Amino acid sequence: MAGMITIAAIDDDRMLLAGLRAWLGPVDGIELTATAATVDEYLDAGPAPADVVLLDLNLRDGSTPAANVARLLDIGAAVLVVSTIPDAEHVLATIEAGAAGYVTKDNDLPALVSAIREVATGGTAVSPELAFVLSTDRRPERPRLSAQESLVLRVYASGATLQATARRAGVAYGTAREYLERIKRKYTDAGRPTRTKLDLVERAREDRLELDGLGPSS
Amino acid sequence: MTYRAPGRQPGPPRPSWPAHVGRAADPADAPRRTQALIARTIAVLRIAQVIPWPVAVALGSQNGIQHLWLAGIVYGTQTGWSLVWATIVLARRAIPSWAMLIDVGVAASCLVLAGLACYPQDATSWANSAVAPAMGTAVAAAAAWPLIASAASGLLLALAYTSGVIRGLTLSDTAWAATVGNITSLLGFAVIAGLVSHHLMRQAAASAAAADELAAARARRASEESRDAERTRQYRMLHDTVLSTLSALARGGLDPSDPLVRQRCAADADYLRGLISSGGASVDNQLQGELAAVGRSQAALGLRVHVHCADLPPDLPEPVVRGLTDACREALNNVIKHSGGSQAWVTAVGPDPHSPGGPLATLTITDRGRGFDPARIGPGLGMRESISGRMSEIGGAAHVDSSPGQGTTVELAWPA
Repeated sequence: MAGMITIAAIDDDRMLLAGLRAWLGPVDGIELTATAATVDEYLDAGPAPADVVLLDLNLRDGSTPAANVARLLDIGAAVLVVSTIPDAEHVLATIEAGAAGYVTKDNDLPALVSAIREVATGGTAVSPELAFVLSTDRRPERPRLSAQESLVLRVYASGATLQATARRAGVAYGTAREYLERIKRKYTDAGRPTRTKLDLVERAREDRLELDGLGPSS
Repeated sequence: MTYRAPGRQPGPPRPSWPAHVGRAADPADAPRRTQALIARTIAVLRIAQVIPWPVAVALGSQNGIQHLWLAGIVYGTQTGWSLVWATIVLARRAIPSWAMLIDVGVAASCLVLAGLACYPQDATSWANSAVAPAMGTAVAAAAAWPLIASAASGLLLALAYTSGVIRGLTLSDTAWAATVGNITSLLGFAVIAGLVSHHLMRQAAASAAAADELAAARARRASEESRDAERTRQYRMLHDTVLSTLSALARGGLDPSDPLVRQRCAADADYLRGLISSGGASVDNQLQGELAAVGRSQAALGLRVHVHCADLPPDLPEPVVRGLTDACREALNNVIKHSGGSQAWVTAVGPDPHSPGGPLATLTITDRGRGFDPARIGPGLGMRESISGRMSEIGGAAHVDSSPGQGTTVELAWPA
């Protein structure tokens, strides 16, 4: 990989940020350029845009995970959500909000680096833990998956390698990979109408502020 | 390449009671047994009630019979039907409503015809064959039916009797007295039978309800006890692992970058993570706690185990939890012995809402190690006995999937 990938990390655990810096230090091609405790703090610093932002799922400043993802996407970063525990409700919300991937903090360095590289090149990072959350999604509004997609998702969620998943589902390696990406895309698409609606509300509010005193715009 | 482990005859386990409990009277069964007792008693009464008439006729009552052929037909019909009725009731251990309805019809018709078969002045005497069986019918109706239906049938029988004997009533006062006496007996026996049998049925229902309540209370207590036991076990495990590790680190003197320290911290973190499911309630879920503990104990042998649980039913039977846990531990032992890998994934999910009738719990134990060719190697002793054997004992199934270089997945499903 020729280009250097810049990453930022937002986590309210200082010790963890320090550890991450030490961890990623020796890794070639990845540079941690900024750390912050909250999304506000990160955005206020007016950062040189990082390629990938590692975002802690549950920040203690009371912000909503999905809204955090949306704000970071607005500045053009790809968002990789990380957390200690896969809290299904919020993980699903961040994926629907457009996060590129999700990993738990117990992953080893190679797994984290490979997820970062994947996300930086515009790909998605479907970790086994994300696959597990998606495969056990029982909400009525969950995106509809084909039988093959469900099978690939379930096998991959059990911790099998993508290669083993493809064999067990009886599809080619590339197809299994494509299925996982398609599933992830379905979730992102399912979240889009909500996102657009939120955007509109936001836009309208900004418009009102600009037209302060002239009455609501229509 | 897949291999389905041969299972013994599967089927969900049934609670096994000590032999004497099965034979002892089960209070929950009381209404059925009481009903059978009432039905049996009345059936015997009915058979007994067809005996007096031929005896009376033999002893001289035939002098009161005007049309012997009609009296014979009436008695024959009523006797035949009474035997059929008693057979039905004995076989069903209850009185079917339709049989009761026919019975009332037969008894009423026979009352009319038997009265007409006698000389008018003798219709209220023993020459009338239909009176005794009709009393049995009234008693049966009072026992089988609720108040209004049994009162109506009693009234119908009294009317039928009256219309059979009405020609004689103008002839003598004794006929009047006999008629009133017979009707009083007919209705009186029915009232007593109704009161007794309904009282018995109420008692039986109350005793069954009490037994149900007791059983529910026992089940509640058992589930509370098992939750308490699970909590105690978890506290002990947390004490021996996470708390000890943190205390040792806080005391200082340990190098946190020492691989052994890091390995232990990672194992503890994996244990905590395993206790929390990504979906559904995880507090006090026994299977989930057991799986997390199994993962933690395997970590001591150098295997990192990632446990993911979702929607596990909280009320799996104790032997099932134990069987699944043991089979899972054995599968992880196989990972350590054969896979050459250092990580394993355990996932446990509850019933799939889209396939009702499927397993209530499905576990997978997956590694990314060297795998094997199931067609060439076949199941080892550990797989055959410790995994498949345990699963079939609890009515579940085990299934292995592997391929050289692609790791191995063991899937455990309960019930099969």
